[in-house]
Amino acid sequence: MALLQEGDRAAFELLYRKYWRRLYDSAYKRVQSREDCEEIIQELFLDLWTKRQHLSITTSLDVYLFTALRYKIYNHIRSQLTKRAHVDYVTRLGMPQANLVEDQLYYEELQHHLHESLAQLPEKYRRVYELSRHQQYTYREIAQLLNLPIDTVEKHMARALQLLRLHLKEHLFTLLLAVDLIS
Amino acid sequence: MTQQRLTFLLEQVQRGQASPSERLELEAWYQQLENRPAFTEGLSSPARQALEEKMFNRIQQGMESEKPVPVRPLGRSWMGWVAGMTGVVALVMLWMYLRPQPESTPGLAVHTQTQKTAYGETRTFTLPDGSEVTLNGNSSLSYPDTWTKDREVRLTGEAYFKVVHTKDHRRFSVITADDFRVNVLGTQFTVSHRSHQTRVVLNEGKVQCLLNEKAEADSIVLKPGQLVEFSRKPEQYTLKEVDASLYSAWKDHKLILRNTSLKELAQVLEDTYGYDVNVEKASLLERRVSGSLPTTDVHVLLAGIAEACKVHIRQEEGRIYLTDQSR
Repeated sequence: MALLQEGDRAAFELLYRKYWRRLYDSAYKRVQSREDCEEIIQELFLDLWTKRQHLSITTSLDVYLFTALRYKIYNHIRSQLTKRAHVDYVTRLGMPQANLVEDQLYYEELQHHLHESLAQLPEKYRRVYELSRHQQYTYREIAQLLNLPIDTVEKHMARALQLLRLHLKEHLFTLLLAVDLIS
Repeated sequence: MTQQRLTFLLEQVQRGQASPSERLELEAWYQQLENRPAFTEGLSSPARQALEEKMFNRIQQGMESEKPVPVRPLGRSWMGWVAGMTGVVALVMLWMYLRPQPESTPGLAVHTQTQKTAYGETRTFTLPDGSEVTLNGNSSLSYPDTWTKDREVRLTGEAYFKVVHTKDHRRFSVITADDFRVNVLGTQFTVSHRSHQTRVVLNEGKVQCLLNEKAEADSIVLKPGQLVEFSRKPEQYTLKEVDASLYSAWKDHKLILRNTSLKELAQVLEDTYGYDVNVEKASLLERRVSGSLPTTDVHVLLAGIAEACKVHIRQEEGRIYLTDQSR
């Protein structure tokens, strides 16, 4: 926590990795939409980052995050209810399976495309990406393993992420197009 | 719980007027949903990872755009600021949805057109593709008679672009003298490349900027109303939210000032009107004014600046001398 307040990005990442899943699940139970959940979680962590210097957490970080989440969800539901009065939120909540399967399929699909994009990455970027994201090595460990300077590892990683983002953006765009055609 | 009740409770909490029992009621409702199936349990582990990375990448992007931006070193010897851009660095803007560029045949011999404005003159004209350009004073734009593939124009000075989108999504690029590029498909924006700095302001559309430092790239997404500027190194850019119309008001023959310093005004007088500006004392440059001045007649403009900033303006050929009025 102290590290986070000093602006340590690694500490922030560690926090994200530790908490994202529980927070996401918790949000999904109440929001029942993957887009909205993604947005809520992203906002929650961005808030944590931007407010880090002014944070004084009196309880545990656990309690802090889940309370912050609860208020975000309150806000979200309230705006949904007022924005679209006709949406019967409570009824929708009664059918928890409605979006769930579709949303889960979305991520399976996304993962599939990520895998494909990954296969298209130049070897040097892919190796660094896989070591870091699939085998949870730190940049320092990867640098030692591949006998590369640490800043090269960082740059490769940044480049890999950027390429993946571009690939996925194209993919998302085709998805959107497909939806347009159907509707 | 009914929808009405839920709405009521949420609004009570929002207004900070919920009683302890209302809070508890809402929390109990919230808590009872805890028993629902956990979404990520149903995902395969690669899909879970895809979700984890997707959100984390977005968060990191958010962190980048919120990081404190370096302050432009405008302060020192602003008048002597004629430092050329160093290095060949490209700041490339791409339309949000990158699409494959159509293959094109090599062009026939094309003639280059150049439009050039004098100091204080603005001119609007249409490019071969129908896009509209307004050049500010002391600026020039070169472009071919026809485009065989990507649309490219070269700019020195300042211009407002209203780019039309072509059916085959041809890219439109503005290249400034220092190899700074702006690529778009169709949108409205202002590009300014003056001796002291380069700036892009987006009025409409959405573009992604890739700050390209050789192979490694950093990227920022520009939304309408955002401004990017840098004085020497593109990587030391400043990104801020602005009223984009202020930066293109000159095309409507207006100069809009919002707490603008005389220092910035003097820079405009030098860049756009070609005056050599001299001040009696540097502190005058710190004076700030707000308002709107017509730019159709430079003498009226000067008189307006003198009035607003409480200075005397003495003009001698291409030189302007500013002195304090209260003296």
